[in-house]
Amino acid sequence: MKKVSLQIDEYIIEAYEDQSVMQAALTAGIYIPHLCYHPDLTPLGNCKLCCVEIEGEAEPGLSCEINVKAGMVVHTQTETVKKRRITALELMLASHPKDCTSCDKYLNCELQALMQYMGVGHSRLREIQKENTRIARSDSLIKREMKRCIQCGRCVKACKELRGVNALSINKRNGETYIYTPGDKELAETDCRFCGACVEVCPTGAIQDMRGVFPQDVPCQQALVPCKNDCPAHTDIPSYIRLVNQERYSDAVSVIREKLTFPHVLGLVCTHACESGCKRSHLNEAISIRSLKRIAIEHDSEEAWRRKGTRLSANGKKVGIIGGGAAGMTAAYYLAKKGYKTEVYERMPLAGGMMSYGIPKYRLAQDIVNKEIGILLEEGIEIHTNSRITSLKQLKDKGYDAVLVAIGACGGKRPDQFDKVWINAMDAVDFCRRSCQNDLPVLGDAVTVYGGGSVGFDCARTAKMKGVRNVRVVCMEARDQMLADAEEIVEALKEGIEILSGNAITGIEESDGRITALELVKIHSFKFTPEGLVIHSVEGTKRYVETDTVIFATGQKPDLNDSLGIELVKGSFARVDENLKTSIDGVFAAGDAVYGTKSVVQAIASGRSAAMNIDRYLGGDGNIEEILFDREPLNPDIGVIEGFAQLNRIDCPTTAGQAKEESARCLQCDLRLEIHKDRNWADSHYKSVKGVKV
Amino acid sequence: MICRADSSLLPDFIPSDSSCVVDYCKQLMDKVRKESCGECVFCREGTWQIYEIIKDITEGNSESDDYELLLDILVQIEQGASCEMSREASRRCLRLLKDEEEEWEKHIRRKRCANLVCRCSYTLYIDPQLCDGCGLCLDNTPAEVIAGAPGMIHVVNTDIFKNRLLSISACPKHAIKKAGLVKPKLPEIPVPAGSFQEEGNTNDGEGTRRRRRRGSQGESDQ
Repeated sequence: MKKVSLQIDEYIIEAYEDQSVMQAALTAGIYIPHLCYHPDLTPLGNCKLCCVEIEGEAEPGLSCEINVKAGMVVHTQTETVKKRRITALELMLASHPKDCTSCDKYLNCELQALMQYMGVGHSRLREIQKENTRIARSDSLIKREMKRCIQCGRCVKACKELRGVNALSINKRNGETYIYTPGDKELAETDCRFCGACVEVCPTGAIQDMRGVFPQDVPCQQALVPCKNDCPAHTDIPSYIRLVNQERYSDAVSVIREKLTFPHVLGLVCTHACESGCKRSHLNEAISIRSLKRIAIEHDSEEAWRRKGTRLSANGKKVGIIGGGAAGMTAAYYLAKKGYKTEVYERMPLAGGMMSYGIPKYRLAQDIVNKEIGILLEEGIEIHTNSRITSLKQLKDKGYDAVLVAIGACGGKRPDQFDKVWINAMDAVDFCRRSCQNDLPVLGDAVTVYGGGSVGFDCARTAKMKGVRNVRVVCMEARDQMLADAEEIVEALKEGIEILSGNAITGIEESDGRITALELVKIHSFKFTPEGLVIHSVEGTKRYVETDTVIFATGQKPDLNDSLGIELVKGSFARVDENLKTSIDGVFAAGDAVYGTKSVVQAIASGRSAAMNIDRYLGGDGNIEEILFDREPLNPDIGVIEGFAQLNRIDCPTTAGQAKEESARCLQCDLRLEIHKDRNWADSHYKSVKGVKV
Repeated sequence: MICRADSSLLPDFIPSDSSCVVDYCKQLMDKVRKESCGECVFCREGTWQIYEIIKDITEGNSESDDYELLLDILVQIEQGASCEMSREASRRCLRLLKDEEEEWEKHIRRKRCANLVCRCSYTLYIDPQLCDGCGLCLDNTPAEVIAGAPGMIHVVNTDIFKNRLLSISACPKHAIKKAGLVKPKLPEIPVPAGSFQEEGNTNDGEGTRRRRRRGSQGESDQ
């Protein structure tokens, strides 16, 4: 593109010949006030704030509409243009509310910034009350305060031009124009794709995100893509959903593998925090992100990710890792890629931790875990199974430069009054392990599981599958507060498992060291206080249920004690600082051993964090990020999908066709990040001009 | 989208003894603001603002610098608006502001309208000679505006705000009339129909009107 030079005020600047005077000026660092102009939209010419005088022209013109020409002389600050701008701004303010401080856009508002720039207040003009600002309503995603609308037209333009959707329009009723949808329909009944472009370009507080849709406590760029933000490993979910939609499964897996070490496992058993945060859940139902990940993995025949990634040559340093679960193996994998010799000590015959000895096989087959561990081992991790490390002294003569404690949380935790031994009572974690090892004791006819989390349901469903006639889950939470996945609960009910939610076990009948019956009471509420559990029971609901086996799914804790040598907190948790360092120099801890039992994806995130910290500790840059798929420019033109807002979730897509359908429901929140932020006049960009002073 | 409306839609100003430039400009701007496509700020907000200011003037709510304010804004609309319609309307308005400056000033400063067109310039009264006490005017008027009973001559509340609530069309017998600067002599309370003595006072109001009209024509001739 050819460059031309022109004079703007007292500067000679250079500009591309297809640029408007506005673009040329802003690029060069000369501020021209503007409101309807947006860097990503074609000029509207509505607000008149950007008018300038051009030598040789009779009337002032709009700098957003006029193209630069060689030798052009532009004046942006003459009395004539200032007067026009001030009048235009005053006119906009005449119908705009004066209560700036009560607006959520306060201090972040382009109109307010312009008032300050031009020194214009609510002024000499008549106040105008507009009636039609009441027509447009808020919905679950977008908050409309149309009395704050100045009808700049950006939102209408963005919807049409950027997105190709046309869900917004300038309407008229009783001679008064206003912005809403064609026919004044609610957004959900229009072609709206809920991409948020209108919110992003709105200069005032007229169109905003509904509070609660996006988190407030993280930077905006992160908050706007809630699935990615909520994923502990921050997987680039919108990218891989889009690739699944294009049936590019291998590329999708590459995106997933940038952050995750056990994608297939996660595709089956992830606790999917991403789905709880999904913006679409506020519209109707979240995207089935976990299932789409599974589809991508199952359909990936190329494994394109193997052609990318970084593998540094050996750096001669050694790291010992205690525990071959998700956290330990993840840390080992990234450290191996950074050139460390890594050795993993696993107390069980198989690596995988809870993936191999916790999650029941009906949810996660062992060969899937083995295969994913196999992929990690290709990086040259040395693994010692059946090797229990109980003291760091055992590793002393191995010459490790750093040690990572990632032993997980494989000890049961019970309420104090039940913390004793009965022949027919066991902890969920032991029950699951023994089930995975095909080593379950005789359970009898009636099994009671205490605890309504995922692990509790794993136990209950396993017992049912083993042929136990009566399986019941007792938990203190009310039915809608239970911690287990909704689908797990539904499946359990289908299988005939009884759920006694809102109940507490208050006593135990025993004889000869066996529990014979449990005393249950219905409760209104419960809370944990420093003095212990306090329950508010319903009078007259005390009763006894007989049981042959009791499984306590009331929590897990690390199997750690002082013999290892590191400082502990709360009895058996490793104490670490913000860099995951323990009390002993060179010894780090990660995963459940630090924060208690959570999820596979949390363990992976913790393992990644450990790898970064250990690398930094040993003199590396701590960077383990990989680009396994080169991002293509995103196509902002998403167009129209018929009945988009009504598309229902396909819970468990199994075919490529279903995956395509489900992935098309994605709101593509990340597209919004591509929209440029307009810099206001106070931005440092305008502090110095890139041009030659005349 | 550029406004589909054009300046051919605009009403023309026809001077007569029942017209008023200020009232015409109000109607002109009301028309333009309602035809506006809503895109450009001068057309959408500007013509509305002009309409509001002129409306205030016609209703007696003017402020002292309204004349200058109108000129200020109209010049910006005339030069800056995107469409021909609002530019042309502003041009006409500006011309009438300048050509009829005295009439505008009278409206703004003294709340006078030469032809008693604008509401600021007159109060309404019931001509005691014409009122037969039929009571029809009471039906569509708030109770505190007119005092009266069947067979009695009705009396209009002279309080300016109450007076404004009355419509000239409320009496089918045309007994509701405008009074300018000089008020006719009227009964203070309702009296039986036909009993009020004329004393030649009702002609005073008419007389005032005629005089003023002549005056205004004289001014515009100069």
